[in-house]
Amino acid sequence: MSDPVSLLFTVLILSLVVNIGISLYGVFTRPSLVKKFISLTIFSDTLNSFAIALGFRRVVEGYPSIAVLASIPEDVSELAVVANTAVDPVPQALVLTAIVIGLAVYMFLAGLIVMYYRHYRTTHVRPAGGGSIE
Amino acid sequence: MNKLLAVGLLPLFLMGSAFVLPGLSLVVKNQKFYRVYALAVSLIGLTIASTVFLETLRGEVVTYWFGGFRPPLGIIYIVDLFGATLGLLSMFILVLSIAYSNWMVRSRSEYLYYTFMLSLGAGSIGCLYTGDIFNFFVMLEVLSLSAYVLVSFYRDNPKSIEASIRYALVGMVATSLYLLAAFIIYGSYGTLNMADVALKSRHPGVSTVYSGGVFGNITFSSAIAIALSVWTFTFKAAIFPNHFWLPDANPEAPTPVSALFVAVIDLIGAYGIVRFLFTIFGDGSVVDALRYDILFVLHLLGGLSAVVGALLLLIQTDVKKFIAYSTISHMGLAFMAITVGTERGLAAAILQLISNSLSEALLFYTSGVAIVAAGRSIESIGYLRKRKLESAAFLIGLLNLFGIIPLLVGFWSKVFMFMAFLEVGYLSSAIVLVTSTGISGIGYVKLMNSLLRETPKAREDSRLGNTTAVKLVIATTVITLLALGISVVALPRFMSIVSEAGRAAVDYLAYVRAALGM
Repeated sequence: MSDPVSLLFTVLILSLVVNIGISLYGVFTRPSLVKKFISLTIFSDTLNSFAIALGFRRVVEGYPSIAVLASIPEDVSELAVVANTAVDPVPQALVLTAIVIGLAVYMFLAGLIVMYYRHYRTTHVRPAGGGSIE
Repeated sequence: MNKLLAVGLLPLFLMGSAFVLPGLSLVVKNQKFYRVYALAVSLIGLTIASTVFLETLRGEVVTYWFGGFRPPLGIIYIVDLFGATLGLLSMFILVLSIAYSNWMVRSRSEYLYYTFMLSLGAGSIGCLYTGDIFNFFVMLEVLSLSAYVLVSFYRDNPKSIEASIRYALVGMVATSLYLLAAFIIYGSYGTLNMADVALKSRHPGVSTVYSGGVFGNITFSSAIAIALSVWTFTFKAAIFPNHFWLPDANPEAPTPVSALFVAVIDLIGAYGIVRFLFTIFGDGSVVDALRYDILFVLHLLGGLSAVVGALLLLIQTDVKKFIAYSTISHMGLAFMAITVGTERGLAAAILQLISNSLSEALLFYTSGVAIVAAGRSIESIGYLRKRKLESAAFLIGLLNLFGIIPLLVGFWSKVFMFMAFLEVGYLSSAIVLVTSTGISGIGYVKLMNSLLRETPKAREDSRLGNTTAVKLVIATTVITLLALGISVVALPRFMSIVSEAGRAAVDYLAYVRAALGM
């Protein structure tokens, strides 16, 4: 724990877990649909940040390098160094996909909330009729 | 190699044809074109799904590598008999529902309706065929987003909008939790390939080409991943604590979509549970001890949802809500059969899923006619009295769900579930099965009774003049139900196929061999 990098890493993971809790609280308890919507975006952004953090799992000591070879290495052993110290790029690709999918869902949800507003002249969940969202 | 182009082709074909439709709508303004187009696309889809099914029937697990990348590296689609059977089922209901929509749905934006119908089918097939944990998430989102859109399709109705918002908010949280599970699995196994994870969860020491070995404490991380994904799957399958969305969202959707919900969305929940708890983290994996506890809890939840669904359907006054609660009850039974943990239980569950999807769809198709004529209240069913085929089919659908006629597949699915419970000594589960059948039976008889009552005032609707499409759809469903029921008795080969499908889900070695090419 004395190592600043792993300490910060622990702080990051802990804050992400707390963030998940807060955003889910927001989704399920706020009466305003817009606030629910914002909480939902915070929720999925938290998960995406978690995935990015996963990419650093093999790099506990020192600073990770970028997973790109700027020049063709003369020695094959340099490749091994890059492979061992570079950030795992797969989670970043996954997050990109997840963000794009999320964008589609959020745009649709935002549209729905606008329609809801047109029908009811409020963005608050109606207590009567359907009950609260839980 | 056991590669098959059809496996990779089907989801892409459905997705591609779905999203060509909005483009076509700029050129073609004729509504009839969209109807014929969607029907043709779904029929081709059914043909491809049958090809895949026939291929897996030979005992082979077929794969398709996207982009030609070797398995742990790229996304693969891999289909065993289990996935192929369910895929055939969901494509079959998709064809029926689209044919029914041709009759029922009248809107200025019909092309959008068919776009999302087809993408709903694509998402479902993608979930059933994929061999990649992250791709499963993508397909789950395709499926869910199409479902949210279809629930809110009648956007002039504030109730649809409200139901869709509620469904989308909670559904988004559910699929995000699955995404978190996928991240955790990637973090600890270094791979997203289901077969690769299945191999490493049994043999943690194995190191696969490209993806290497495992990382950290995989027992702990697998437990978290299972907990998160099981929550998502129980949500999708509408199992007791997570059942609330189905009676809320399903009735607000257009009737053909409601009919499709069981065969497409609830089915994916059940499929996901089987894939995760039997193939990926199945018998002999590092989470073995926990797995039995999870199966037991799911068994309890299945039983609860069977009884709660049966009790709640008694008090419904809305036909569509009635059918939704009946779905919850029957999905609960299917879950009980799945979580028995034996191959016989899985076979019974497959039969139950087939029987349930077909007969709930049949009920929606038949009551849809009454809904067009007289609204959604239970009394409106009396309208069907005038129509012989529709009322007969409605009765057959109810009797199949009730499960007392040995000619129908619903009876046999309950018999096999009963036997599967007794085989492992779950006497109380067998009692729950009989009790929930009895309780829901009261509701079904009540619905049959409303067939006998005086016809309520019917609206004039131009659609009611020509119901040939409805009759065709209904007749096909009834014939399928009867054919399946009879072949359970008359064709020994039929039951052996169902058992093989159950065995395929447990047989992780064949799955891994086919996927990793060993």
